[in-house]
Amino acid sequence: MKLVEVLMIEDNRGDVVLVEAAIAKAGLPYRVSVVSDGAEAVDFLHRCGKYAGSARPELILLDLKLPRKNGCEVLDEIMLDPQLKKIPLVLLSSSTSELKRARSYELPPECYLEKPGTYQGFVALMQAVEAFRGKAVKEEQT
Amino acid sequence: MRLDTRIGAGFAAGIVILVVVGASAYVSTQQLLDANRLVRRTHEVIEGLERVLSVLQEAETDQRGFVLTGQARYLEPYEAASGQIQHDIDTLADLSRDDAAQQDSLQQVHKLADAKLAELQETVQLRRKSGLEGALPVILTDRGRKIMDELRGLIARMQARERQLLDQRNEAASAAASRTIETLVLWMPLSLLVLAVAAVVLMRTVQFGGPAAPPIAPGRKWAGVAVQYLSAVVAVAVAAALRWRLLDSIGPLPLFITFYPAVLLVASIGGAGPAIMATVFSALAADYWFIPPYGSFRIDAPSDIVAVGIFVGTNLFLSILMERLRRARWAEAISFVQEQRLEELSQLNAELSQQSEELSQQSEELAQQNEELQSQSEEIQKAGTELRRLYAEQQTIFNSVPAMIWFKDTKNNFVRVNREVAISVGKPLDAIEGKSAYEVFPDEAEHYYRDDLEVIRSGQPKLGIVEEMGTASGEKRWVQTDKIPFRDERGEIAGVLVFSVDITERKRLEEPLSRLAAIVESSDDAILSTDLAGVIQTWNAAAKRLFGYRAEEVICRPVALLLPPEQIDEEERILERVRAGQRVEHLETVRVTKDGGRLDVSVTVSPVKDPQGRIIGASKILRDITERKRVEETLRQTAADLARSNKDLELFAYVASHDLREPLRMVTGFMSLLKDHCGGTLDAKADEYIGFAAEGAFRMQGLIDDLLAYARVGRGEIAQSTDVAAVLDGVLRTMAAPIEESAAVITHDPLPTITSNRLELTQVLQNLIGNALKFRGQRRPEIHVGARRQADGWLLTVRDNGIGIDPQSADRIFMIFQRLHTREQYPGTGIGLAICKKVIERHRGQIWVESRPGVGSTFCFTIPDQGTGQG
Repeated sequence: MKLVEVLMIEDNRGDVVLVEAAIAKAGLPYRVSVVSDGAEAVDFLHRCGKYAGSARPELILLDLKLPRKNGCEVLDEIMLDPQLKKIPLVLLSSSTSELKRARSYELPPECYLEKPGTYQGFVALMQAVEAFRGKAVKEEQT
Repeated sequence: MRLDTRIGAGFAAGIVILVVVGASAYVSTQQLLDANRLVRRTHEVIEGLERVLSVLQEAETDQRGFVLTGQARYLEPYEAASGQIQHDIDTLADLSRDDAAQQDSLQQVHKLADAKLAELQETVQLRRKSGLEGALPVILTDRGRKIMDELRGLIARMQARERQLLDQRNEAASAAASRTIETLVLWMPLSLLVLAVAAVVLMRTVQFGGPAAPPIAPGRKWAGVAVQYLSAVVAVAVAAALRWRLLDSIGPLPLFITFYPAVLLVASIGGAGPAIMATVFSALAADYWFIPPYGSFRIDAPSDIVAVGIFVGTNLFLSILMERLRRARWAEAISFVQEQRLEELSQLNAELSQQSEELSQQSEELAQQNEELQSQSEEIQKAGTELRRLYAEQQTIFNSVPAMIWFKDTKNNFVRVNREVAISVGKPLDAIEGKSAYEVFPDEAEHYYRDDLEVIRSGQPKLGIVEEMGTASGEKRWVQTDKIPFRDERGEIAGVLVFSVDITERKRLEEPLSRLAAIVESSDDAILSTDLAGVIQTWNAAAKRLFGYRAEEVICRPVALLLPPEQIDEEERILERVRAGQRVEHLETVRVTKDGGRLDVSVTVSPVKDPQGRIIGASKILRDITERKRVEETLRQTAADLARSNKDLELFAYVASHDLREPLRMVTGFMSLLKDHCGGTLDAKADEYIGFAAEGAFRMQGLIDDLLAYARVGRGEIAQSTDVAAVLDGVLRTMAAPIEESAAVITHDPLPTITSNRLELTQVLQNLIGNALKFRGQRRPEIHVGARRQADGWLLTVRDNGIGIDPQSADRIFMIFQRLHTREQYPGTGIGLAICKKVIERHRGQIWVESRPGVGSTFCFTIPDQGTGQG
C-alpha cells in the first residue's frame, strides 16, 4: 500500500509524539516528515537547501504558532504557489481565538482544528483529518 | 569832509610848503658858502706858488752872494729856504688835492725845487772847499739858470690854470648867490600866497561866528588867561635854550627850528593872544642871540630879515588859524550840546503828550465809571425789587418744603421754623418761634440739644441722625435729621439749622430690602453686581473673603479685574448674554484673587432690571469650587489608576490562563496516552494515581477556562438595547437539556427592554438559572424570572425553590472560586456568581441574594438606566 506523504509543521515535540501515536493507533498509512519552524517548512515545500530531494507532501498539518515564520506566513507562501495550493492542508492550534483569526483564509471549515487535551482526542482528530483528505483527493480527481 | 580833516589838510599843506621853502633856502645858502670857500682856496694856491718861486730866487741870490764873497752871513736865508719850500709844497698839495693835473705839476715843481736846492748845495760846498775858483766853473755851466727857468715856466702854467679855475668858481658863487636870493625873494612870497589861499579856503570852510570864548566863570577865566600867557613865556624860554644847545650840532641856519613847535604849542593851548606874544618873543630872542651880529637886535643880512619876516608872518597866520579852529571846535561842541538838549526836549515833549493822552483816557474812564454808577444805582433799585420777590419766594419754598426746618440759636431756642414744623408739633408758628425747646419739647429738648452742642462745638454738620419723634397726634414718627452749623457774617457760629424728614414710610418699605441685603451680605457665595459695562457696583462679605478685595477697592472698577488675562474676553461674552436678557448658569471657570491666586469658581449671572423692566446690569454669584475641583481631579486620577490596574489585571489573567493551557494540555495529553499505553500492564494503584493526576490536570484546565471567561467580562459595549425576554429565550434554548432532565418549571414576568451588554446579560441569566437547576432540592424545580421598574432602572430577580443559602454565606458566594459545597456534591469551579457580580457592577448595578435555606433563594440584581447618572 502506498504511503501518504504528510508534512507536519510543528515545534512542540509533545504534539508530534501524540500525533504519531494517534496515527499509529488509527492505523493510517502516513509517512510523516516533521519540520519545526516556518522557514524550514517553506524550504521543504520549495525543496530548497537540504530538502532538495524531499518528497512532495500530499497532506500538510500546519501549527499556527511557529518560530521564525508563523503559520499564517507559511500559509501565505503556500497560497501564492498554485501547485502547493492544491495540497490538502489542516490548521492546528491550541487556541480557539487563534483559529478564529485564521478563518480569513477561507479554507473549508474542516481545516480549522483545535488541538485536543487527550490522546483519545488526537486519535479522533487524525481520523477527522484523514476523512477530510480523502474528500479533498476525491474532489481533485473529479 | 569832516572839519578836523579839513583843518588837518590845510595845516599840513602850509607846513609842507614852509618846509620845502626852508629846505631850498638852506641848500642855496650852503652852495653859496661852498663856492666862496673854493674861490678862497684858489687864491691861496696862486699865492703859495708865487712864494715857492720867490724863496728859490732868494736862495739863489744868497748862494751867489756867498760864492762871490765867501761870507757866511749869506748862507742864512739859503738854509731857511729848503724848509720853507717843503712846507709850502705840502700846503699846496693839500689845497689842490681834488685836482689831479695840479698834483702832477706840483710833483714836478717839487722835483725841480729839490734839484735847484741840490745845485745850490753843491756850489756852496765847492766854494767852501776849493774857493771861488772851484765853484765858478759849476756856476758857469749855467745849469742853475736852466732849472730856474724851467721852474718859472711851470709855476706860471699852474698859476694860469688856477686863475682859470678862479673864474669858474667865482661864476658858480655868484650863481649860487643869485639862486639863494631868488629862492628867498621869489619863492617865499609865492609860498606865502599859497598858504594864504589855503587859509582863506580853510577859513571859509570853518564855521565862524561861535562864541568868542568858552563859557567859563570870570575868576577862572582870568586865571586861565594868565596861565596861557605864562605858558607862552615858558615855551619861548625853553625853545631858546634848546636852540642854544642845538647850535653846536646843526649850526645856526635853521634859525627858528625850535621856535616853530613852541609857538604852535602855545597857539594850540592858549589861542591867538599868547601865540602872537610867543612869536614876538621868539623873533626877539632869535635876533638877539642867533642872528649876527650876536648880542644885538640889529640885523645886517637881508636874508636874515626875510627869515625873521617869514617866521613872524607864518606864526601870526598860524595863531589866527588856531584861534579860529578853537572857536570852531567850541561851536561844534556847543551845537552838539544843543542838539542833545533838543533831543531831551523832544523826548520830554513826547512824554508830556503821552501824559496828556493818559489824562484824557482817565477822564474817559471816569465818565464810563460814572455811567456804570448810574446803571448800578438802577440795578440796586432793581435788586431791591428782586430781593423782595426772592424773599417772598423763599418764604414760600421754606414753608412748602416737605421737611421740617428749624433754625435754633446756640441756647436751644427756636428762632424760626417752617410750617411743616407747626403742623407736626401741632402748635401755631408764634407758639414755637422765639420759644425755648424746653417749652415745646419738655421731654426731648435736652436730647436734641446734645446734638446741637456737638455741631456748635465742632463747627461740622451732623448728618443722618435717625430717631423717633413724638407728634401732635401722639403717634411716634421716624425722622432723619441733618444738623448744620449756621454762621453769621463774621463767621462765628450763631445757631444750628435743623432739617428733619419723616422717613417712617421709607423705613417701612426699606425693611424687606435691608433684610435681603443682610441675606446677600451673609451669603457664603460671593455675590456682586455690575452695570452693563462690567463695572462693579456692589460687593458682599463673601466676595471679600473669596477674592481678598475690600468693597471700596473694587467698586467702580471693571470686573475684568477678577479675570485671568488669557480669559479676559469671557466677561464680554457673559455681558452680551446678560444684555440679551439671558442667564448664565453654573459656568465653571477660573478667577484671580487680589494676591494673584487662581480660583476655580462656578459662576451664575442674571440680568438686573429696573422697575421699568430695562436691563441695567448683572448680578453674579460666584461659588468657590476649588475644593470640589480638587476632589474631582483626585477621583478622576484614582479612577484612571483603577482602570489601568484593572486592565493590567485582566491582561494578566488572560495571558496567564491562555499560556497555562498549553503545558496543561501536554499533561492531560500524555496522561491519557500513558493510560492507554500502559492500560492493564500496571497494577490497580498505578491506574488510580494516573486517574488522580489526569483529573487534577482536567480540573485545572476548567479553572483556567473559567478564569479566562471571567477575565473576558468587561470588554463589550454596555449601552446595547437588550430585550430581556429574548435573552431569556436564548438561555432556555441553550439549557434545554438540563431543564428537561430536571423537569423544571420556568416562568417569568413581562420582561422589559433594558440597556446593557446583551452577551453579558445572557451570561448572568445562564449562570443564575444554571445554579437554580443545579442546587435544587428534592422538589421539582420552579424558577421564576421577575422584573420590576425602579426609579432609575430595573430590578430583575431569579427566584427558585432550591436548597437555599445560609445568610451568613450570602456574600461569600459572589467571590471567585468560592464554593459552599464539595465538588462531589455539586460540580463546578465557583466562577459563575463572580462573573455575574462583575457584569452587574460593570453596569453600575447591584447583585445580592435573599434566601432561606431549604425554602429557596432569590437572586436580585439591578440594571440602572444607562446614560443618566453616568456623566
